[in-house]
Amino acid sequence: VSGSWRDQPSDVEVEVTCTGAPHRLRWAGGRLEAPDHADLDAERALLALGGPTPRCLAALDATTALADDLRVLAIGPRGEADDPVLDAEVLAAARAKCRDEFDEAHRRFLAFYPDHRAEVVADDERLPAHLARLELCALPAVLQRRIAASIVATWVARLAAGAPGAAAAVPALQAAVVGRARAAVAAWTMAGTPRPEVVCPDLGHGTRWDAAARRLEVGTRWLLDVWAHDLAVVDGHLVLDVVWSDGSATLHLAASDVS
Amino acid sequence: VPDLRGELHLRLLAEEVVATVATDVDPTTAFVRLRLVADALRFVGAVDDRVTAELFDDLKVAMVLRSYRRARRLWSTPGGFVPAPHVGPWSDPETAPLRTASSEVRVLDVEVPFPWGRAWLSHVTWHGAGAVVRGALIPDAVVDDAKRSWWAPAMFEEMVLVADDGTRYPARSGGGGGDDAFVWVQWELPDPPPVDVGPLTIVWGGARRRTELRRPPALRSEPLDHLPGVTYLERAAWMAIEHPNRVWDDPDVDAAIVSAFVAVGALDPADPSIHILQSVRATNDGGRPTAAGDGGATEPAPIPHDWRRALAAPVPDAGRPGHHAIGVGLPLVDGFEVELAALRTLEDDARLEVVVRPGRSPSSLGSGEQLVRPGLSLLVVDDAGRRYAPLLRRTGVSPAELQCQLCFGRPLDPTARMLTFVVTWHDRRYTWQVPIGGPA
Repeated sequence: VSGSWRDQPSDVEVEVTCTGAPHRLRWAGGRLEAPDHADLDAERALLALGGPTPRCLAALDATTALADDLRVLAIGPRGEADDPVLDAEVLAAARAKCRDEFDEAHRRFLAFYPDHRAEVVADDERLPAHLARLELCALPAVLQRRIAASIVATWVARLAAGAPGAAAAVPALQAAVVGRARAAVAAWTMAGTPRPEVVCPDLGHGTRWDAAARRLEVGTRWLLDVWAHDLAVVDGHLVLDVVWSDGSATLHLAASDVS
Repeated sequence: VPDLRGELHLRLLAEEVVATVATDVDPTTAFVRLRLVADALRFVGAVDDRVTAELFDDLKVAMVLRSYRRARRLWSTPGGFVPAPHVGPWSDPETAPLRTASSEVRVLDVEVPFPWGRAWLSHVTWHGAGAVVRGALIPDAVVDDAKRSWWAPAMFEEMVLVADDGTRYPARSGGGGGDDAFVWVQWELPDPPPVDVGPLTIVWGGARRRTELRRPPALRSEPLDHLPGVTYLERAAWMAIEHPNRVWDDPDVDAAIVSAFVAVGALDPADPSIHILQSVRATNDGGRPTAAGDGGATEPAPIPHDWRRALAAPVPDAGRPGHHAIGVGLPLVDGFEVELAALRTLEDDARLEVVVRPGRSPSSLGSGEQLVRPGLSLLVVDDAGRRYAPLLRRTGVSPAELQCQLCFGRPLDPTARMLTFVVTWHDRRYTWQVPIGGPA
C-alpha cells in the first residue's frame, strides 16, 4: 500500500481501452489522472469541434463532476466480492436510450402542461449526472472503490467542519458504510452460516466486533482506513482496523469463530 | 436538523436488496419489502418523494449492474440503465397546493347497435391536448382471436360528432383493453368541440345517436376528520378484509412496515391499529384473532364493531352484470389528473376504469397493486353501507395516459342503487354519489 495513508484512498493504476489503444488511468494523491493524455487542454479544445469524448477524458470529467455525489455510493461496488462493471458497449447504448426516453417523456408532459417547461428543464438537468454515474460504473472496480471512498472522505470533512446542509448526507453515508461492511462480512463468513448483524450507530463510531452477539459496529473510519485500501478481508480474515508504523501495517482482525 | 430517520431506514433496506441480488438468494422478498415500506413511509410523510425516487433510480442501476435478468423481473418498468423521468409536481401540499384539474368530463351513456353486438359510449373528456370519447365494444358472444377480425374493423372506423350547428368533429380510434366480452375503446378528437357545445349527434358505424352531454355528479370536498381506512395500517386492514388473498399481505411485511413507522416516530408500538391489522389477518387465515406482541395470548384484539360487521358480512352470491358511466375527474392529485371513468359489474367482481394523465409508469402509482400515493386513498361505499376497497390490477400505458383497472375483488351487491366514491387526499376528503340502479 502506498500513498498518503489515512488521508486518501491508496494509489492504484489500471488500464482501459481509450480511442482504440490501452491507456493508463491512475488514482494518486486522492485524484484521478490520465497519464497517457499529455495535453488535456488541447484535446478538450478539439472536442469542442465535435466527435466522441475519449474514454480517459470522460472518466476524468465524471470523477470531477461527481466528487461529492452520494448517489455513486448507492450504485458502485460494495467490496472485492461485489465489483460490478458496466460493459463499454452497454454504456454507449444506455447513453442514447436515456436521452431518447427523457425527450419522449418530456414531450408527453409538455403536451398536457405547456406552462410547466421549467419542471422539464429541471428534470433534464438530472441527466448529465446520471450519465456520469454510468461512466464511473464502466471503470475497473478497484478504481470505482477509490472514487467512492474519496466521496465519503469529502463528506466526512464537511461534516467535521459543520458545513451547511452536510447533515442531510448522513443517511446515505451510514447506508454506504453498512452496505460495504455487510459485503465484507459476507465474504468472511462461510456460506450457509447466519450472517452477523452489521450496524453503523453513527458515522464517527469505532469498529467493534462482538463475537458473542455476532454484531459488527462500524463507522466511516473503517470504510476509509480499511475498505478503501482493499483490506476489508485479508487471507480469509475480517479486518477491523489498520495501524501503520514506520511503513509496516498491523491488521486488527475479528475473532474468527464464525469463519 | 431535518428528520432523516425514514431515509436511513429505506437506504438500509435498499442495501439488503443489493446484497442479495448478486447472490443465490432470491432478492424478491427484500425488494418487495422495500417497495411496500417505501410506500408506507411516503404515505405518512416520513420520506421525501424526491429522495425516494432517487433511491429507486439508483437501486435500479445497481441491480441491473449486478443481475440484469433479476432486475428486469423485479422492475415493472423496462429500460435498464434509464432513470424514470421525474417531470410533474412533487407531493408537497404546502408548497404545491391542490390545483383544479384541467380536464372536463361529460357523460354520454349512449349505446349503438351493431350486427355483432353493441358499442357503448360512456363519456367524453376534454383535456390539455384534445378530447377523448371513451366506451366499450360488447359483442353478443365472446369472440376468440380467430373471429375477432370480422368485427375489429368497426372498432377502427372513424366516428364523427356533429354539433347542432352542423360542425363536424372527427374522432379516431385509440387504444383498447378489457377482455373479449367487453373491450374498452376510446376515440381521440384532435380538434374537439368546445366544452359548452351542448347536444351532439354521434355518427358511427352507420348509426346516428343524439345525446345530451350531462355533467357528472357534483364533487363535494370537506376537511377530513376521521374515516376508518385512512391511516396506513387501517387501510391495510380494510384491504385485507376486501382482498384476503393478496400475495404480499403477510405478517412479515406488516412487521417491516410497523418497524419502519416506529423507527421514524410515526407510530406508537402500542397503537391499536397494529392489533386490528393482525386480527384481520388472523381471521382471514381462519385462526382466532390474537393480540400483538404477547406471543399469541388469548386476549382478542380490539376490532371496531363496524369492522367486525364487515368481516362477517356475507359476500353476495353473484353480482349483476352491467356497465355504468361515472366520468368524474378528480382535482389534481400530486401532479396527476385522475379520472374515474366507468364501472363494469360482473357476477364475481366489479371493475373500475381509471385514467391517469399524464401517462406514467405503473410504479409511479405505488407498489403495483394499490392505487397508493402518499396521502391518497379510495374507498367505495354502497347505499347499504358496504365498503369496497379497489385494488389496481391491470394497466395499459398509451402515449399520453395510464389506463388502470381497479378491481373490487368481490361482486357489487345487486341490490345497491347508489355508490358513494370517497377519495382522501392528505387532509381533505372528496365524495360524490353515482346512481347505478338503472338498466345496464
